Amino acid sequence: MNEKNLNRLFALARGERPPAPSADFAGAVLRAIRREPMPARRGHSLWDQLEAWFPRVAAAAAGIIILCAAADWALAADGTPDMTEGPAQMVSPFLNETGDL
Amino acid sequence: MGWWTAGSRASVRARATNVNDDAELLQRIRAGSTDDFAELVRRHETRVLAILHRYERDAQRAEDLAQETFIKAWRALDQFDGRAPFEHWLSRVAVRTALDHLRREKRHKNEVPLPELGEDALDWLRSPEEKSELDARGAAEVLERALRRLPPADRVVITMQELEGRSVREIAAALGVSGIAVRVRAVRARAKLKRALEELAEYE
Repeated sequence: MNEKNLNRLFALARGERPPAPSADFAGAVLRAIRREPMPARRGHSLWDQLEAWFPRVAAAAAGIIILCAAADWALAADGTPDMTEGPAQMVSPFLNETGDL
Repeated sequence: MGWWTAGSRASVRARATNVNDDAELLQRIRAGSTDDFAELVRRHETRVLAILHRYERDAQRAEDLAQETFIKAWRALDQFDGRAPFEHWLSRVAVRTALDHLRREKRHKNEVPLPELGEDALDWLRSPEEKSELDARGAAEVLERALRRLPPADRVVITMQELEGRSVREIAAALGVSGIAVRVRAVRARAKLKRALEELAEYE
């Protein structure tokens, strides 16, 4: 059996129409599941909801951190005191020679 | 360009609507509405039966497997997290049901009577180059007879890849294995299938 004939066989078989389900198939499934005990469904607790939101919250937090870091870097390059500098240093650009505002 | 892009856009829109409808139904089912599960079954029964018919050609037994698939889905609804469309998750349940069925059949292979291959199928097997006529059903029966000789997981890989046109990623997700494992298995399964077809031609 060579590749060409095998591929022909697959191509022919792909065209087969499957059987249709019987008229009452859905009804039969429903009767079967009604004989089963009801599966315990998990409630959607606050934790479940937070878990579902986690990826978006994490992405938003990462975005905010990056923005803050970028702004801090840009302001530091500009000569503006950054958050690592003490209050006196932060105020000093705004004071005159006598130490008044 | 117009007609097929319009068709593609329409089918994407239809699929998006179906995904939203399934999500609403699932919410009601999870809230306790068993009757809504029947509507979910009606939406997906044809597709599930088509998947299972690839592995079990007896129509009644295929329908029993389809019912088993929906019951498993009912029991495991909490495991469906909604990140992919429901029909993808349900298809995976169907494939795993088929795999379990093939493994049970393998254990009892001597007890399962095999239907005879038709004359057209036998003629084609013996001289495929002579352009002998073989219809879709005949081709499916020949393949099914040969695929029975493969290990169940190999059969599932070949069926999903060649008959259903699934990607390596989809097959890997259905079987719970890596993409590399699927590729290796597919190559080996194809070689085994060719040998099985040659043996069928010799001995049938």
